[in-house]
Amino acid sequence: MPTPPLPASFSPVEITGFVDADGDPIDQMGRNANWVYANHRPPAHLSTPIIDLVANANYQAPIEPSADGLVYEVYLSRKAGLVGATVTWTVQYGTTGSVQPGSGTGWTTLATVSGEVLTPSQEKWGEVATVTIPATATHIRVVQACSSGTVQLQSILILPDELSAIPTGARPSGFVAWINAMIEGEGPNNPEQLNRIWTNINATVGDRVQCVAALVQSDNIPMPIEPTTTKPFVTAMLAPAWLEGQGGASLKVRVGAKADADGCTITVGQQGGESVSFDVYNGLFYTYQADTIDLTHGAPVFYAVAGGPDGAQVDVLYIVISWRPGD
Amino acid sequence: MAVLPVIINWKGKTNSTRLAQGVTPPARLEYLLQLNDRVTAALTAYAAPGVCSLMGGRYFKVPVPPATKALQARAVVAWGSSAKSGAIADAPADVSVYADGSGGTAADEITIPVSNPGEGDLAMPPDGPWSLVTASETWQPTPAAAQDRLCEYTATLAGAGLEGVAVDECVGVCFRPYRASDLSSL
Repeated sequence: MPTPPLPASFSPVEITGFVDADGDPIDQMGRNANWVYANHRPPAHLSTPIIDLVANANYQAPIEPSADGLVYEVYLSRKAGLVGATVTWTVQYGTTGSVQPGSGTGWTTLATVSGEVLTPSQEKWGEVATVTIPATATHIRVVQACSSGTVQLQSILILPDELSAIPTGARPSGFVAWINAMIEGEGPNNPEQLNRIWTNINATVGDRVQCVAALVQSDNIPMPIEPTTTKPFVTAMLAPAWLEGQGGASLKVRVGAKADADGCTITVGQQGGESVSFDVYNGLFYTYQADTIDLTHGAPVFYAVAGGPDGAQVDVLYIVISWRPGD
Repeated sequence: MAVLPVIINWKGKTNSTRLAQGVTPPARLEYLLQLNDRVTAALTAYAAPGVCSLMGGRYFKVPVPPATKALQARAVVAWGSSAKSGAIADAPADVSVYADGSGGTAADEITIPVSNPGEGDLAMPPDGPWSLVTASETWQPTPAAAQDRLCEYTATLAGAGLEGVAVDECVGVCFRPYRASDLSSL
């Protein structure tokens, strides 16, 4: 099978009245679709954990990886404490979506970066690992373990790595590489040529779910949220976002949280638009729940508030809002 | 999205360019135009994610979509009077965001003033008062960024730091990419 072409850059196509059957613009559009497959890299997860300087922490968040088993880059921004630190980072995934913190099971390690040395108060950011996240993964987990000192993890970014070659054959996402041989020769164009370009774009963009807002906390030291009689609702998250032209799109909201009293809820929504509420009381255990909201317009302000009776405590592991283009 | 089967019957290698001269292009070219638009639209199929912070001095990076020529920062600030713990800022402070890749310079700084707390008060949720503040025209040009560029995103709260603030006080920030209308300049 011929090697699918991967142009170095996206080349704008100009369509005029004449359509050459075996060259531009159809071939160029097909090559551009290949380029998009190799270079479409929206954040699968982006968050700024609520955490101070600590020795050990575990951050988990829901994720919808590509069906194609893509390689993802993991970026971490971290800051060492006053005495510096030696820290090991581990990236894991889970498939059940209901792993209780501290259970120590249910996670599969994708990468371990051992013994990173940070000087006193050093701030460092960049890629720490590339991992192949299987399509079956429902959660991703970043584990921080300091053998000395403390570290504050300031942000987590996970996004698809760019490809240096286009895979051949049909991909689980529905993408089928464009190859020049399809239009070589003297034969007429056919619907497959055109449909493949269209479906390749839809498959690529729709397969890469984008994180549009997220809040995560370490599962061993989440900041407690404590409603009171005078303030029964407490803001847990506030985040603006842009989804240009996507008013009406369906967004997925997922919450991992627990509470120590019946009647505790977490409400996630957008200013002036839809919201969903989750009952997060499940005895001693965390609940993992999901729902959807319809986007009112393309410039939303997302919020999350925790509510409950006086004296209750709500612990949030994550609140994640994601968007699959096309939904 | 529905895909209609379209057959293009132009045959190559026949010097048939003249066939299209002086005539109205066939309607099926509309499909090609739509197809090309669909392919090109993939360059802008990015949401600009928002992040939420309770503490100042956060660094993170987000990928800059292709054809991005400038970035505009947007922030929302929430604060309340009923603190739960820690030191509370009496009023929200300006938010500074840096949109470069070297840790933040004045040239790339986008300052979002929080000088008008009454502007855009949010009527929801039952946890006010909230203030929604956006940077209207305070955008900064960035290098002609094509794909594979990560934008460093440094959110700093000037004045009163946010460390130790109550959990009901937070800041959310995101970038809005401005796209080039002329994709040939990528």
